[in-house]
Amino acid sequence: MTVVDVRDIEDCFDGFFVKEVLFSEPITREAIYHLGQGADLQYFPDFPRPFFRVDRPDFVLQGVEGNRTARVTLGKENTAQSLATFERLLEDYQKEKEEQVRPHNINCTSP
Amino acid sequence: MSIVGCDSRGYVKPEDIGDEIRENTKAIVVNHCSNVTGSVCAFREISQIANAEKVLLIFDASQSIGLVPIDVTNLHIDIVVFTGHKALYGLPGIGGLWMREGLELHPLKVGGTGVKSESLYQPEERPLRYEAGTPNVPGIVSLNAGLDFIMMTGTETITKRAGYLYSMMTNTLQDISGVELYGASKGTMHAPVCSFNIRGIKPAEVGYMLEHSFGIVVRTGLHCAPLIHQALGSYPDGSVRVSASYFTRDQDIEYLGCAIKQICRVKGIS
Repeated sequence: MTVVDVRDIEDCFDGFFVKEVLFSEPITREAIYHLGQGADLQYFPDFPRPFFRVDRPDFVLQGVEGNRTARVTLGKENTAQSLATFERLLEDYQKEKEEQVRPHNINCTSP
Repeated sequence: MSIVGCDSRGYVKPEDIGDEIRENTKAIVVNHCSNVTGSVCAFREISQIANAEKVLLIFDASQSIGLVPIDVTNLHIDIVVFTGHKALYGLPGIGGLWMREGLELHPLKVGGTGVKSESLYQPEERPLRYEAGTPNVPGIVSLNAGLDFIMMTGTETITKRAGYLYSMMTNTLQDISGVELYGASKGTMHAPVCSFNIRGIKPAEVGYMLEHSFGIVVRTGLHCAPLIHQALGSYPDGSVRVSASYFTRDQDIEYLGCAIKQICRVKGIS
């Protein structure tokens, strides 16, 4: 799962720091838990569509499981860095996922 | 320009308006109905002040038109401005300006009107004087359809339904522990719009949950009206504003109540 697009959210007050992120695929429960590791994670699976919120020092991510978009609130002082941290976490999750599905013990060397 | 404040319920006291009138005051501009709390201003008293002080009275009826009767004949109102996309059921981008007979304003824009092509100047007569350029035909058609619906349904029926929906919304929200409702007071006229917050949760987060988890679309933040939020005590985060229309069903409001209760429960607010 990667970030495909980041859009400003029109808001009268704090639009400069709140962005909508578009993911390459719907956000899964596993992705939510990954992003929430070592952070303050709120996850409400009993809602008609499960809501989550991840509070990290660099950003706050809110979204709904199954959606391709989520809302990220970035640090006011270092917006670009906060966004980079968020994207790196997602990349880590993607690598971890790919690692899990890659077949092991296959000899790929030429005969 | 003087800005007249409001009290902690969002009401502007007519006497406060009177106090701000100076020798050079040209007009009183008043929001007929708050887009934050739904409170309808004391328009009769304000109209009397304008009449006594011989200043123009300009009503912004964007939030009230179609829901609250506006008697331009018997009240001293000079100008009414309104949008068409709220309770008149038109598309966004259409609105209107009504002016008392005999009042003249310089047109904001001049240009082709599609008639009197031989003239180099903007026509003098209404409405052409104020309608330069290509009209917003889709907007006009939609507004006309909305007005047809209102006339067919009856303004009295709509006003009554609006009052019922407002009472139902406020009763539902007031009963939930942890909810702070702004501007609600019995015995005063309201449009079916109310603002609230859930203690300990930012309105933007409540709005996000309502929309994305429960399918209830609300508006959050300052509603382009920061001053009233300062008076209500909801500045700088604002509030969650929920609006009902004639088509809102009782069960929609019940569902809103259930959603708010569920949010409070999972967040440990009671």
